[in-house]
Amino acid sequence: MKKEDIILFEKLRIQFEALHKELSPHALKKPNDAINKFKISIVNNYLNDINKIIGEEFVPITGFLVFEEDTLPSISDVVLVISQYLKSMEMFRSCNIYFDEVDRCWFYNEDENDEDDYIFMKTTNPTGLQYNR
Amino acid sequence: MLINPRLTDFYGIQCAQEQIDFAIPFFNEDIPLYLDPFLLWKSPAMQDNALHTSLMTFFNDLGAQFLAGQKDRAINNLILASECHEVKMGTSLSGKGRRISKKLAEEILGTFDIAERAGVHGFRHLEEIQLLVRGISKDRISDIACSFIKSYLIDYTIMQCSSLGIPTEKVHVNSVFHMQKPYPVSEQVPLPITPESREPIILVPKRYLRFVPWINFDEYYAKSCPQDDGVQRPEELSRISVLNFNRDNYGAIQEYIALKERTAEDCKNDPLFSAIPALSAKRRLKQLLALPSGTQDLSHQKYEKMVESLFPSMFYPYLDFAAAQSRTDSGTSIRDLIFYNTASHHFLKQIHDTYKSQQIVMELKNVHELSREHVDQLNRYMTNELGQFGILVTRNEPTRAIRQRILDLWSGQRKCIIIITDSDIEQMVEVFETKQREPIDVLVKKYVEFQRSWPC
Repeated sequence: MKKEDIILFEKLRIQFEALHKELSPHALKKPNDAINKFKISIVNNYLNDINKIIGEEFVPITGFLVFEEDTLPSISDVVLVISQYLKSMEMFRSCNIYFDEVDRCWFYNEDENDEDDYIFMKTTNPTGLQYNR
Repeated sequence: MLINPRLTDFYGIQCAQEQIDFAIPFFNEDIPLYLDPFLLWKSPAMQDNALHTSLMTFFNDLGAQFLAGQKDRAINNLILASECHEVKMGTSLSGKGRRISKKLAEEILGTFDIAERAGVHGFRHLEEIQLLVRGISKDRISDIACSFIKSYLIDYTIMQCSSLGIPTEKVHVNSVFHMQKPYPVSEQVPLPITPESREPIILVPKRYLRFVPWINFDEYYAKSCPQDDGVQRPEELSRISVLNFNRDNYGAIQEYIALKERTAEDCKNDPLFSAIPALSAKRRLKQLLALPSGTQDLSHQKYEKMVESLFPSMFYPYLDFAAAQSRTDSGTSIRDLIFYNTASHHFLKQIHDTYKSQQIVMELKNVHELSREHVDQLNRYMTNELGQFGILVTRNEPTRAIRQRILDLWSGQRKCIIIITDSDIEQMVEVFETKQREPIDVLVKKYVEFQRSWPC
């Protein structure tokens, strides 16, 4: 992975978690309420970026990429999708981080021509399934 | 043919009343609003104040002529000013009112004598005559004011027509008052016309309109007229005795006028349409959901009435309500709601361009299950003028066979029917209350769902 993608991924992970925390109580209270266009556009922007990073393999819902404004998604739809994505992002992270004797780290190389020049970026322990490709 | 055509829609100009500066006139009926001269007086715009000054100058000049002995001239001019049918406001269905009688004109002009005796030279407000003369209604005040400022309103109409592209024709307009001329004159000016009677139409800015004039007899009678509670009960006080009292006690009127001027800040123009509050919408939805389907206990009529009261507010300001009309098709009575398609929303623009929908028809069906006949009734109504888009408002989701029938209509004739059910109305009211989305988005959602069912 590239350094920018790792940074963006970690940023999106935090933002998505915050969004989930924000919307979940509303979804429990009034699950069928429509969500406004501004919030949909925020969620869709995040989804677009996440989809690009995690790729088809980790997209959690087959056939779904972003919300359509015209179909009037409800708040519970949005919360459901966000929670699915959060799990899938964690799977993606778990599969792409490595144990560096002390910490769990992302790794990337700044010079693409030099495959041995890996730089490590610390992250938290994985909570999902981990396998190394 | 359009249902209850408006000036803009007739000429294919799609715009919502909300977006336009003037009250869009109807061809078949008058707008039930009136020009209130007080709105000109209290306006922060100098132009409006100047118009008020002009109209009072015209009126006071007639009074001065009357007092100076030129009675016939003053009476004739006031009679000519007493009706201004070109503005198409009031409650008349024919669009034409009647001028005042010579006797009433003389009585009105006689009030200048009352003011003169009270040491006042002329009136400050035209509406004062309501408090002195019997038979002066709010539409008469509006008509006289419109006549006196007709020259300005003609210029305003020409300007608005040119900016919106409304076609005009050179027509004669009678009774146009000018400062330089002693008599009102007839002018030939380019104005929009009613297609059938070919009569000129004059547009009036929305900001001048109210349902009831700020200075009005009923309020004066209820709140300001001095009454001796100990001697007589208020109901014994007739209109005539109040008018007679006012004639002898002009000071009471002056006090009332001063009070109204002090509270001028509260005087606002009335909107042409006000949406119902969210709480009322929720209450009506609850009643609607509790209604049984069918015709038992006239529940179909109650259903129609509730939808009729909900939908204009739900779709405001994107769809302007045109009319609720009943028609009979194959012996069945059908209730429709007709909206002007203002094309002010991307979906409405798409409907207008794709299905040539100048007006959107919604057919109401309080039935448990839609039948093929219901679809056919609406289909027959979707003519070239109304466009090839219609909405069936009913209680439950249609059966598979009905969905197929609607799909076949689209496949064969490119006619689009979408179905709004109780659950959709529920969602409309929900978003109307939460303001997270707009009720019209529910229509968009239904259309998108219908589009997805199209055969590839």
